Amino acid sequence: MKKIDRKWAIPLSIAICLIIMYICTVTGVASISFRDANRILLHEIFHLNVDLEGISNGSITIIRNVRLPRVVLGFLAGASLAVCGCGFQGIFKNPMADPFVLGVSSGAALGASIGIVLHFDSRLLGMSGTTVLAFAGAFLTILLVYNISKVGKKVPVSTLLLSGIAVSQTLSAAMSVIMIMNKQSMDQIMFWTMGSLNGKGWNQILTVLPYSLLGILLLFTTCRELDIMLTGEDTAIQLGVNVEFLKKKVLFAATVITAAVISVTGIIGFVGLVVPHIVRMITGPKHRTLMPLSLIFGGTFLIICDTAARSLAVWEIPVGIITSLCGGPFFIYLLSRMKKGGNFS
Amino acid sequence: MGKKWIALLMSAVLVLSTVGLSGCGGNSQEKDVKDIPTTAAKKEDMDKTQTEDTQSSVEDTEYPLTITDGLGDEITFEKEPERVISLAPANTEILFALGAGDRIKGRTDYCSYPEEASEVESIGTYSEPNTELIISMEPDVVFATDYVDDSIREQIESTGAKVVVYTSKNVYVVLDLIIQMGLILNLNENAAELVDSMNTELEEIEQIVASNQEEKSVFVDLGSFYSVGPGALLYDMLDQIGVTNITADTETAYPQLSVESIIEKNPDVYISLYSSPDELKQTAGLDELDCIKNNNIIFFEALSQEADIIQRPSPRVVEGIRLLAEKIYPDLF
Amino acid sequence: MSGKILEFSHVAAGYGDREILKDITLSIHEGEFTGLIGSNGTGKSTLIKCISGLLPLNRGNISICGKENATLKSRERAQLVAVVPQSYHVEYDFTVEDIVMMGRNPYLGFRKRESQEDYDIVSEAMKATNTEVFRGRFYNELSGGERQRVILARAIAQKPRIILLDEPTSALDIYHQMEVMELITKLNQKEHMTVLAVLHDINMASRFCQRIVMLQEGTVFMDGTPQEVINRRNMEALYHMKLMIRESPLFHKPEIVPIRVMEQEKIEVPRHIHIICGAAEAVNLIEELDARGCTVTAGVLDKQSEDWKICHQLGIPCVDIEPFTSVTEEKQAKNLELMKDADMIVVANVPFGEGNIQNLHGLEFTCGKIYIHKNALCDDYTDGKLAKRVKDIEKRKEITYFENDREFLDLLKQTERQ
Repeated sequence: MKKIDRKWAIPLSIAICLIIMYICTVTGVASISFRDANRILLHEIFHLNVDLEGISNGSITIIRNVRLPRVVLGFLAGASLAVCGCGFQGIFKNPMADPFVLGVSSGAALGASIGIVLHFDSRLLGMSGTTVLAFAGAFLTILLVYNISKVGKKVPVSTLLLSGIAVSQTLSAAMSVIMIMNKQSMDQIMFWTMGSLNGKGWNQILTVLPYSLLGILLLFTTCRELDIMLTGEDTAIQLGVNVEFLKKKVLFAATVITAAVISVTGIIGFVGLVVPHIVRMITGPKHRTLMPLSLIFGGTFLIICDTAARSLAVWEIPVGIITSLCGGPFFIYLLSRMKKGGNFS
Repeated sequence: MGKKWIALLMSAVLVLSTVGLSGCGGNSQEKDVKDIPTTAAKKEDMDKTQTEDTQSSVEDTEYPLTITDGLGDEITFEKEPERVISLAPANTEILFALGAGDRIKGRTDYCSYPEEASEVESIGTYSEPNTELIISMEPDVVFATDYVDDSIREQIESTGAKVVVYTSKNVYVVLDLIIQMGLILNLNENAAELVDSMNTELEEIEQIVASNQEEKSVFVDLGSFYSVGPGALLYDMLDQIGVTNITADTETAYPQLSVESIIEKNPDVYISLYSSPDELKQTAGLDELDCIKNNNIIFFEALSQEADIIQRPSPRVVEGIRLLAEKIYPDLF
Repeated sequence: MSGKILEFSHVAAGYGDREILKDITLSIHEGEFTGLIGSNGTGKSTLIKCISGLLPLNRGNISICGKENATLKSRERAQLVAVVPQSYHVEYDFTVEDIVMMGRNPYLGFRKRESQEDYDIVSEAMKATNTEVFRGRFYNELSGGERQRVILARAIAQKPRIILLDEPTSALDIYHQMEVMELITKLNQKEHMTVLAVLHDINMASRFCQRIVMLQEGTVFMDGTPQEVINRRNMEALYHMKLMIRESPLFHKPEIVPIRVMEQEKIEVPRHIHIICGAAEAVNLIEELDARGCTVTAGVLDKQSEDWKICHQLGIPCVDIEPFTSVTEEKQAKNLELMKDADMIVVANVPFGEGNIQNLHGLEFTCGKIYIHKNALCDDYTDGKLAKRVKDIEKRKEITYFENDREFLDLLKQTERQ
């Protein structure tokens, strides 16, 4: 299969992404006319002196404080999860790895459950108690998994995956116990685990942004070394890659990103698994192309899913369900099409 | 992953059907749910059914008695049940109100009202009761809600106990089931009195509200913008006092609304059963909403008595309606 | 040549409790092409792993270009040492150029991207290995030999001082084996690259390496030129099997000829069998009889003939003469002395001429039974002297004729049963 050239793939996908962002901003259940939506956008984004006469305050609020932040947060979350997926699939040399493979999501969910049960009203650094606890839960989980898998100075990938599964299962069980013991919070915990961008605004974006940026930049520094990792860990060492440091770096960056994202949005599955995979099928396995394109496509994918989540029906559909519903079958289709090649890319 | 999410979707449906802790009608089983046939749910028919019920209720129940429960199952009682287990807080309340408190041998962890209920032994939670414990109590009848698992129900039934399942989608179903429980327990007189007083109270509230000129719209937030829609008890209670609910067009008992549509519908009053007013004020988009800005927020803290009475299909449901009316139209009272 | 580039002193290493390398002390000099041989499990590949930093040492130390290996960062080490493993599969679609460019990794960082210089080095490496024709193709789509060359190109792109090869030819056919070995030799000779190669194929090692190090049970068993290391004693110690070492006439390097691993079924009553031969046709028979436990003697043999070589290798007593000289009466007397107590005297498939007809002299006076290969009588270069000689023998003794070696072995079995 001819792989697409990086030179024009990135600008092209940025252009597509911007168009989709625009379409998604003017789409929604609230009946705001196309013209009004454009006027509000021009006024809010470009600060043009557009006359907003005759547009209800509600419409302005919806575009400015609901849709725009949802689109931006959707992009941020999707992009972050997709880049994490790239990183994890790289160090694990396993195309089925996703950002949640080591139990970040279970840790975050447990933290969030505790937050929901205790129902913190206080806010730390502009984040709700649930968010802070989810973040802490995610981070502590990875720390635990990492330390369990450590053999001397090394962290073998297989041990890491296994202890990830074990820890993840244990934490899920712990969360179930919390849910059963606090039935009145059960629904809230369930809603949280289903993931949603509903009611999230600029504040949440500001919460996530620094962590995501830090993590994504860090992951972008590992592109060449991740390429080499894909050809085997021993080979990577022989080609001068400090494999253990690389693992730590990717693990740290991905955890920072995932923890920040899901502590705000709840668990949104599939983006981190499917997007890198699909992009790899199109562009080939080189991370220097794969990572930026996954970033753009991951963001775009989640924006589309979230727009569907808030616009398909008069009520909200949890976005995690939409991502799985779209991502799953598409993924199966791609796999069956690529099966003949036998390669993962 | 895929399976996980399908499972989540399914559990979501399940959870939605259990929102509110009090055994409101479950949308997952909506097809099977038939209104209790003794009376009709419509308000217009109330007077007619009322007289019928009153007439029949003065007399003693004749056994064997066959009734149809909320799931549409026919259940026959050979004799007056002596030992009763309640699998829902609302059922416990009704039993105590009927004067059958001494017959209750088991209740759920959440049966917090009346106070005497706490003296009864608990058999666990309403959806996952301890089957062994229930069977060991040798009940004649178990009053359950529709989220008790079928397999648990069958296990209990296999010991000879009768399991009566109730689903309460509106206020009149609650009145009907009180009458039916009275019939089953041969407490017809108490049931009739209770329903009479509830009806009187309802009429009183109706009269007060009738004078209302300004129709208000509300949004009920159960948490994470999940709300009540047509088919939910709380939705019907608000309907009783002439309040428009912005979820009217969702046709779903427990829909989740997007912030966007809440803003667009611009409700006059925001009823929150989970998030505190402070949290709501900090939620992006909502802060611009008139009702939030003007502090038209009614906040019922989870597990408080107030939250219970507006959610439980119990005799206190009329108190709940009055509470809602008072909070939404304070000027009328 | 110049100084020591790779030094091992008392190196011990292994996996878990199992120590594979026990005590390795060895120095490799710059520019050397060293072959590392040893039977399976003696630690050749483990040694490569120790050098390339995959396996920590239990004891001892390795120094590369005078630097302690354990203190080298993998980046620094990769600038000095490149490893060529057996060609392997990569599950992702990297192009050949991508793979070769990975060799530049030790010189690149996040800030320092691939420069034109790096691209030039990669091009050169591909040119040197004849891989530039498929630079844009996917590595996975290549054949084994092509992949091996790509991996070699990647090692060259690393611009290392030492190249380590771990059985680089084991999965290849002979064409590609030769191709890879020639490429490595070229690299060694033209670029003065130090090469340390783990090789399974002793003949390959003997032919291409200047120096051969033989490992046995985790220690250095032999170290020297191919001629010094590859001899029958060492090779039998290494492989515990019957084999033969001869000098390859083409390359003048010792060559190993494996003979057999499984022991032959022994003959119950060992007999003394004397074989009259001298060319190359009796090699098989001599070896087989020897393997079955017979006492074998032979004569009169031309020195350097194949028959002579096998006798020499197997330590079989024989009478020999200089090549292209005739069998003298004196030599034949010695020959008769050898076959004096032989139970059987076999005239192998050997052409008779004036030079060796003397070999049949006196046979009629021996006590052993006489067997003659039919073909020996076909080619008569003696103007009828051969036929007369055979007739003379037949006057006094019975001669049994056989058509091939198999038939003779059957006859042997029959006599045993009697």
